[in-house]
Amino acid sequence: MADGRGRWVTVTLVAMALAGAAAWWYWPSDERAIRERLDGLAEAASSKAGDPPMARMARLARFRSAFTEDVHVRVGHAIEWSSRDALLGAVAGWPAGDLSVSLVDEQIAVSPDRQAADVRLTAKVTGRDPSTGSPTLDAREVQFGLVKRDGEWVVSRVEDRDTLERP
Amino acid sequence: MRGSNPPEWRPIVGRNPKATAARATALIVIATLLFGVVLLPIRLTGISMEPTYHDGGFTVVNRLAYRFSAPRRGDIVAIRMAGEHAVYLKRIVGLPGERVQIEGGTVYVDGHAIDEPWVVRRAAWELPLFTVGADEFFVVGDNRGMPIALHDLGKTRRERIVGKALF
Repeated sequence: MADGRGRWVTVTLVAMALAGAAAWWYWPSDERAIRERLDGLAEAASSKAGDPPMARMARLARFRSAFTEDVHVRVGHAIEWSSRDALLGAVAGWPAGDLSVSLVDEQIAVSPDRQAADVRLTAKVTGRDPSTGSPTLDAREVQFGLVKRDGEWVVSRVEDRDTLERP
Repeated sequence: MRGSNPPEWRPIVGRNPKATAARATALIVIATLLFGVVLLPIRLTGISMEPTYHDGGFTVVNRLAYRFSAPRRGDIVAIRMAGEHAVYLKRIVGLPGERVQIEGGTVYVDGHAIDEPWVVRRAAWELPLFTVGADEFFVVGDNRGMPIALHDLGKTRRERIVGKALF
């Protein structure tokens, strides 16, 4: 009897722990919605060399939906876009090839009114060197600004950051 | 329970499943602590640390190296970006408060050329005199044969240094 009751207690505790973990993991929150938005953005920014045109178009549409119309994007000191259309035009012009984008180490700060957020993260881009065919990896720190529009988080600002401050 | 498991399960759970479970748990806990707190394994990409490290090489960083002592000149350190998923691996050349300059590829610290036996090839790098901040370190890769414009170097704050490369 004692053995049977002990087993039930163990099973109940494990089930409660699993339920708690699942609730913690899947509970809707702004941070979770922002992570999903950024994951979707990274997926939409990635491409494969053999992507059919329709898949490419669908990917660009998903990419477009992640930004506000007046998004401001700055990469380094020379490259800057001040609208979604300009950004999309630049991205659509990239040569098709194997490119994988992942956004890692997100640090999310949501404003007190839950309508805006700042995210600092590392963007990792892996691809292939066009001349040698060998794999390449580039990583940059990036600061995202997001705003909530009609209940959806969209990116309004993107700026890269220098990890090492060049004198 | 001892010896009660069917013979076909023994290669997986052993003769004593409880002891096997305890050993597996201990192993997981030790590995989690070791790689979550003490060690950071790194796969290297790029050529900026040639010839000390090659593209595709591997090393391990000791996160506790600077717990009780300050980073020193010549140490190879990992510098985090937004987090530890992507880090720079660089050598410390300038310490807090020092005046650093690169002239004709030679590094001068407080007016004296420093000995850098790890540098094999030297291009004629030029970097005007600057002072490293109170809580900063100046870091450079070992590959001084590449153009300085293509080489990530610069000042970093102490809090960004994750640890010291072990080998």
